[in-house]
Amino acid sequence: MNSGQAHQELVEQAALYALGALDDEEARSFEDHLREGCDICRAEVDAFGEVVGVLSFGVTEQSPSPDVRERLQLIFDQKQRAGKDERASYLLASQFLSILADEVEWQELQKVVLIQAPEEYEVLQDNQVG
Amino acid sequence: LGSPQDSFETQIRDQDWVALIKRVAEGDQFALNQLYDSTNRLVFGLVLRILNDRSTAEEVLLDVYTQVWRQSALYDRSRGAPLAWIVTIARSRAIDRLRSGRVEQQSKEPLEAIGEIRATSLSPEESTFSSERQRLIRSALDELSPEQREVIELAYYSGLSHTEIAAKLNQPLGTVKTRTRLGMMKLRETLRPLMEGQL
Repeated sequence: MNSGQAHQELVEQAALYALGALDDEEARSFEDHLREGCDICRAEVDAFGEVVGVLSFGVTEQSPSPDVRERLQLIFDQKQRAGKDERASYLLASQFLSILADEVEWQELQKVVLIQAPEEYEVLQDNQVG
Repeated sequence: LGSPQDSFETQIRDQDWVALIKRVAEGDQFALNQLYDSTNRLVFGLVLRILNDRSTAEEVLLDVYTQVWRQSALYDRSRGAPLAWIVTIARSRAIDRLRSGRVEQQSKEPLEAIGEIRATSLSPEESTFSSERQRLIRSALDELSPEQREVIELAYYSGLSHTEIAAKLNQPLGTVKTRTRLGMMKLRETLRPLMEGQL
């Protein structure tokens, strides 16, 4: 088989690929070919992909139970609430860490003052109480 | 939540769909409701057609909209029209469920399905843009030979590969491939005005 014939076979697979009808191995080979940058096959896939997309609009519309909408709403509410809780927890944790950081910083300052300027240490203690 | 019965999908233009999906991504509950109300009958029709079981189809429908919501921030208009994106997710989820084996495959035989579609008449309220599109697609399918239509429906609604279709129909693989390809080419020609006109 020459390369022209081999490529023609690939082009002919485009419709099957767009429809999802190729076997897994064939689909992978075809995708490799697309990744190599074949414009002809890409155009074919896009065109047949549009056909596949449009086919869905040929089905008869059906009404699901109203329960589905309610369940979707419930899931949405739960996620939104979980998101808010997560944000609130994050805020609390941030505040706690900030306080902790201040405390560590304050203790470090006290140590420095105690070593370098013992006479100022009492003043510092008074300020903390104040 | 209200439950509007009338699909107003046709009244929404493409850029409005994009805006709606963007609002869903931002956590806008009203937008999610609006998206659901506009599309659920079409999506459910497709999912039910694939699964042929209402209860499972409703579970999948819920999965579809949960996925649409979760992925709405990643939606990229350049990869397809918004409604086509939702429908693609729906078909993919339904076929995954079908393949998972949790549902006994009870789908009607494709030839029966053809008869069902032919027997369906359009109700007065369907005389809208949406039903016109539906009519054109059904008409395009009617123009296929029964053999072409059969293989395309088995691939489209049952998610079967051409090897599986060949085994199911007891036909040579080459025959199935040719039927599928010729059928798809014919559909592409017949549906071209619909696709180019953005109907």
